[in-house]
Amino acid sequence: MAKTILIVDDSASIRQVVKIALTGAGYEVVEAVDGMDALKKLDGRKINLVISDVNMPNLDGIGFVKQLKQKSGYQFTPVIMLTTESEADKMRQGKEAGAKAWVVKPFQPAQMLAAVSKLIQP
Amino acid sequence: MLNPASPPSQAGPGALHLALCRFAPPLLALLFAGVHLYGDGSLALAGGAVALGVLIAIALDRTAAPQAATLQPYAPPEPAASLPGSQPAEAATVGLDELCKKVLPLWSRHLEMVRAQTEDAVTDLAGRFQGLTQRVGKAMEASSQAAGEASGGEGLMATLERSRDRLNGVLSALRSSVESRHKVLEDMGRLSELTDALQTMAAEVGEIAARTNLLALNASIEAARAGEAGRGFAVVADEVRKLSTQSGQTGQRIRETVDGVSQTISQTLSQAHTYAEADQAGVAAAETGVGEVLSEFHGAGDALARSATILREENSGIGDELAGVIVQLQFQDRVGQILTHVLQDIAKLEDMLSRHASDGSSPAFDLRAWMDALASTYSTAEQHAAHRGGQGPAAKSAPTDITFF
Repeated sequence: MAKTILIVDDSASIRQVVKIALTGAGYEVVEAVDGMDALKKLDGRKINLVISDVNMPNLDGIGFVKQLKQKSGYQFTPVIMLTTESEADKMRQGKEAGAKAWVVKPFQPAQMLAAVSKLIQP
Repeated sequence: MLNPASPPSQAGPGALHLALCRFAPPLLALLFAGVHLYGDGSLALAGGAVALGVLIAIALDRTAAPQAATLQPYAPPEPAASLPGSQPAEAATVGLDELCKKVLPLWSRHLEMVRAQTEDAVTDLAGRFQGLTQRVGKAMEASSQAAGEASGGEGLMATLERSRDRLNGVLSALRSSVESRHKVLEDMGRLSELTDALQTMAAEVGEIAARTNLLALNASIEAARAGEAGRGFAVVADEVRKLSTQSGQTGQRIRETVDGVSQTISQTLSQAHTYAEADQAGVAAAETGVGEVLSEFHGAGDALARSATILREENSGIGDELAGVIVQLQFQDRVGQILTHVLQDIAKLEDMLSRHASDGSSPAFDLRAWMDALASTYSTAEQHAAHRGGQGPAAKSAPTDITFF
């Protein structure tokens, strides 16, 4: 059964290119436009991994990951932060929120897939 | 048009000029940092940025003069004529703050339009690239299956190999049939030898009959010479002579029959040899024909396999290209973020101007706080570099290492 990955990004183009990379490797994808939308999209469904932007309207990536880790059934869902931010302080915030990896855009599809397969549970 | 020779402005507009002098260069730098480094795919964005740059540059050109300028009426090339349904003509002379209140929302709308159009176009472009790649992938898969190169696939090469096996089976059966006929011919040859023996035996029977007949004749002569005493013996000799005559006749019939059989066998053998030679030639022709046909099919199959190999290599290359496209298309996100930050700052300036206009006070700015607040919104390294006055480093296009926590 295909693994499901939640993509959270306010940029439609980023969601599109991430989706292309992931679906090409056989993953199923759920999209959300920001942190609030992502929390709604969870809806108890099985999510094997989350890829989230940091800077987003309504609820940013760091805030979203913090809330995700509080939700039953998602405490151990691995999160990859995908962002243009490369400041050490931002990365520290992501780590403290519970993210497992930090990828600075632009990402290389092969690299992203390698990170996903490393973090996702077999 | 702006008139540099005009008297200095009052405190309010002067502060605004200074503010624009300070804000506009980093804003312009940010815009161009987000645009020129991605030159190839950013024409629309570049157009919007250039338009904004030109507008700000016009304002700066005048406001940065040693003496602050006031705005003079804009003189259209021809007398203004109100279009049907248009708004009444506004005051012709306005201050810089009034101008900013009018143009800043306009700039914002244009920038937002550029951002939205770029995002839509890039999203669509990415989808189309994916569609193209998928179509090439399907063509490659179909070609590989046809050529029998797909793993476990039943392609042309597999069919050819199976056909070769079957045809070889048919040829083998034909060869076996020809060999069986040869065996029959050999047996018939031995039968011909037996008829020769029968001929000899028939001749021997005739010879014995002739000699017996001669013996019976001599016995009859001796019986006649013996007179009355040889009468009974003469009867016996006569009977023996009759039997020898019959034996001779039987030997003759045997010889004639064997001759007939021998002739028939000889004719059949000759005909069978002719058929066997024709069969042999037919099998040889079939072997040659099957070999040629299989060779031609193999040639076609090899060509198809080579074509599939090329297609597979091309598909792999296209996959690499798509990966490169995915990397490059992410420029839109970085540019979109830069535009969003510029839009937010324009909105902030617009808001401040509106608030001062409503209470009648002159706008004054804490430049350091403003610049720091602007810098705090940056999300890319090139924005920070541009803020410091440089053009910024080349936008990231090479992939970075992933940091795992």
